[in-house]
Amino acid sequence: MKNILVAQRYSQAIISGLDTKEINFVLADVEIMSNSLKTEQELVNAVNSYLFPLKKRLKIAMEMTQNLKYTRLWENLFSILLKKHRFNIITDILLDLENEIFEKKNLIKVGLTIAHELPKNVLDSISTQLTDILEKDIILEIKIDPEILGGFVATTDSLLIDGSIKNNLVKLIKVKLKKMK
Amino acid sequence: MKIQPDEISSILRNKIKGLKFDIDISETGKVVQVGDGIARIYGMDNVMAGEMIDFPGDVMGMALNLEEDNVGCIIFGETRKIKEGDIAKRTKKILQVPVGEEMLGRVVNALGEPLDGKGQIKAETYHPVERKALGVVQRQPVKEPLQTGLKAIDSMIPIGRGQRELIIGDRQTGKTAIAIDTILNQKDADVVCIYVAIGQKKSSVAKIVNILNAKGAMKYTIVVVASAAESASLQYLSPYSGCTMGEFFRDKGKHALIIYDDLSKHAVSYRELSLLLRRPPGREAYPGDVFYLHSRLLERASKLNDELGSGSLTALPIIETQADDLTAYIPTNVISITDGQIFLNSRLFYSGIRPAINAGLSVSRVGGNAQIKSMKSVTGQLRVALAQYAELEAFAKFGSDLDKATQAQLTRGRRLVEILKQAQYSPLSVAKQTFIIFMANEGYLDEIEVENVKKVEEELYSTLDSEYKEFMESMVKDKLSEETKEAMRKICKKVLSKF
Repeated sequence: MKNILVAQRYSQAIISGLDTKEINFVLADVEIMSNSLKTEQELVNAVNSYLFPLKKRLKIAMEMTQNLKYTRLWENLFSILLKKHRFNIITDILLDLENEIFEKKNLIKVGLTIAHELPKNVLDSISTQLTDILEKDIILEIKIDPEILGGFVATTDSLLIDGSIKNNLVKLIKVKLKKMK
Repeated sequence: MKIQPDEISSILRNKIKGLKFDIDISETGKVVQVGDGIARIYGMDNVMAGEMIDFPGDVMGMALNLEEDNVGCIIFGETRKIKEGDIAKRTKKILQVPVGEEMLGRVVNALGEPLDGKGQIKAETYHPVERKALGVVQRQPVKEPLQTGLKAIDSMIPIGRGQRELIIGDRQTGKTAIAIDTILNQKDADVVCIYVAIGQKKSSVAKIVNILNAKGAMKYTIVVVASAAESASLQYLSPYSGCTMGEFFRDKGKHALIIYDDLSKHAVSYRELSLLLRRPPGREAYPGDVFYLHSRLLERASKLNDELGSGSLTALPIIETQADDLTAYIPTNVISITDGQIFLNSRLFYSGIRPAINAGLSVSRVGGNAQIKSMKSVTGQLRVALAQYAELEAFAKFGSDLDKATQAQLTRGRRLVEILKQAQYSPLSVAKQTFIIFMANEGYLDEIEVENVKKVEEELYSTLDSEYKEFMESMVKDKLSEETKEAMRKICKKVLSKF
């Protein structure tokens, strides 16, 4: 997690050299890579490992960039990261890059946790409310967690909107306990 | 009685319908680093300096370092409950502690939470820990005395209500003893006392609390403890918390006394925090703002003007020196901030002079205005005589070779030193203090052997208690008149006739 700050510097360096058209290409690449690397942490560790020769690791990394739209950029980034032994922060860089691009497009990714599946009209209503609160267009990532009992929890990078029944009950218990004391 | 499930479920339904569910919106950040009582948070762009931060596991923290890409927090609790990647929430509140009458008689930690097992404190008022010191307009000069009950202090280094008087000395020289005696002496003085123990052993604090309890002083005292076992952040916070509790009484027009025991350890805990927060180290590795750390705390001691109720907060900070060195960094800082210092000397202490106050190096810069007039009229001579004795002491070994005047000065000096000795936990009234000093100044003790001076003193006190109670009350009301002096001389002669 300490790598967030380093990752942030890399993503800001990448984005500073892109125009609006290029940003869209990069965003598409970021989504592809994020989805594939999220589940392949072992691959990331292996590519970053000193156990294997650098040349071979570079070759694997270059192959990873072949199907992307902005191959040149990724080749350069991967080669720098490998040489600096920082390939392990690639997921953090991708995450931050995505957020930066969203920021530029006035978009925000919101993780929405609900207790059970909700009808579309309810989700739309939540989405509208969140758009009003955040003053940005939102991209919802829905997660189901029965532990929150009901209601919803929405999270962004810097905000937590907790309207869950669990949170309300916890607060109620705290108030009751305080009164009992 | 039959239970009707339908009825119960309908009642529950109605109750649930009536419940209002809230949506909490809080700004958050991610913990990127945690350890040694410090956490670094990524995010939280709008956090305020000094704001309380809510960590998972009901752990609270305080934002201290607002940096470009992270926020440095001190944690008031167990750091092991916090992990990297945890979400920390802003509370939008500056750190507050409970204040009020409910705190009296309690032993609390730096956050105002009880440590004495007497149950929850039902305080209704909370005040911020960090408050700006009052301005010039709201204050008035120190003019009322705060009696410590110690002859050496009340006579030569008088303390006024609202004053900041430093108690400084090596370890084991009786610094805390002076502070405790002062608290004990406030029994009927309507002064609320706050004792802040910073970085001390819990056993020492327990001993102090037991003494205060045994002497009936706990009912007007609050003890704030951040022991050596607590984190540096709590040790750093404790004097400010204690001060906030004292300010409550001052602002209500009452009088409060706060003892910071001790600010050397407070500076050390702040150094630890600052280094962990990666603030640049300066002299002796203390951060650059270590002066401000103490000046902003001690500036909060004050005497309010009459419009604001003329309450006061008197501060007695304690500083521990190394090998009687007053010129070290923290001692010089605090000496320059306070309105005087009581310097305790280890040489005097081990030679049996207790309290081991070095009269030459001790001073009260503003207390003179607050000193009771009757006392003031006898102490002028005392200081001069003691200073002369200190100068001539080296010649004492020449004995009979010295001229008569020098011998007389030495005789008087020895007796003055003897009468200024005082046992622990036995504070004296101003009248008794004035009387014994008067007796020595007038030369009544010159004929008495030094070993018997204490006996004379005891006899004097018992005579005064048994026969002259009303006279004692009247004599301290104003400057000693010739008539009063004459009456005092008669009593002195009466006491001496028994020896």
